[in-house]
Amino acid sequence: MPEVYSSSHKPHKSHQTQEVEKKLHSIAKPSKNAMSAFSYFPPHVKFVGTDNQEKIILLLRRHPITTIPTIFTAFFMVIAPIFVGFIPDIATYIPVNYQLVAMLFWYMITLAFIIEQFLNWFFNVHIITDERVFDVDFTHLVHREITDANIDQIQDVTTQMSGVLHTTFNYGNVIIQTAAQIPQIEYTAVPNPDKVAQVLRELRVQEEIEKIEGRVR
Amino acid sequence: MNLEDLTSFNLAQGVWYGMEALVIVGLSLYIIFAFVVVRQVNQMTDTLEVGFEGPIRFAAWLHFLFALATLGVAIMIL
Repeated sequence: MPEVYSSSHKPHKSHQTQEVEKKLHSIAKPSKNAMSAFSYFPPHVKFVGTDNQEKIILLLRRHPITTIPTIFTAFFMVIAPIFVGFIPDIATYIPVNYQLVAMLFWYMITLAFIIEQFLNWFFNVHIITDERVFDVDFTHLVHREITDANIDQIQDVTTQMSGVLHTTFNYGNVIIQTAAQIPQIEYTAVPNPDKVAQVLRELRVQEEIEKIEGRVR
Repeated sequence: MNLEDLTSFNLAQGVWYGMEALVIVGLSLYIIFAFVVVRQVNQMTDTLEVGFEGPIRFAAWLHFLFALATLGVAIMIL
């Protein structure tokens, strides 16, 4: 059937929607830092799972404090060859050329360890858009798993903060119960779990208003 | 190789030759792993773009080139 009338006019946002949007923007300051563990309204982020109209509200990674054991391990791996020099008469057991290759191999393994750990932290993200919640997992070298659920399928949001570290550095788990096929999405060790829950609460309200006003996508 | 050389070919030398072969095979396999890391980084940066893709790709290629250089050095000096 031919289109009789097409309007370029965008649907009017109600007062309630504007209020919710205002609340959403007041929860935290927008972040432009690509390395941030809590990026609110990140400006340049593109994610393969989102559609063109979907807006990314929050990008979360594990709190940087959780990477401290990895940083210590990497540091000890870097300085470990110094201690090998203290082994007496090592040159009599292993020829110098083998020692050199062993050292190069060691630093190569160290570089691989640092890169893998960084990738693991940087790309295992949790994303909240205005329509859906995502959990992106790269569990090992060639395995990618993306879980998502619609905002209106969220049934319950639980935040967990337990222990001295969690309380001191304000990070914890956010557990999202959904009515989707995967009943639970867990955001582990994310910064500001209360703000994350607040964002989800506001988005659920916004989704409800959109349903009532018939503006559901 | 004359008879004298054959008799002087002792067990220790054999062990080092075996070790050399093992190191070269091991490093060759490592290059495959380093290439998989490059592919993995490409997959990750295609999944999520945050404006920090350049340095991450550079690190993965640096690791791959480091692996190639280590194999080259091992072939030359062992």
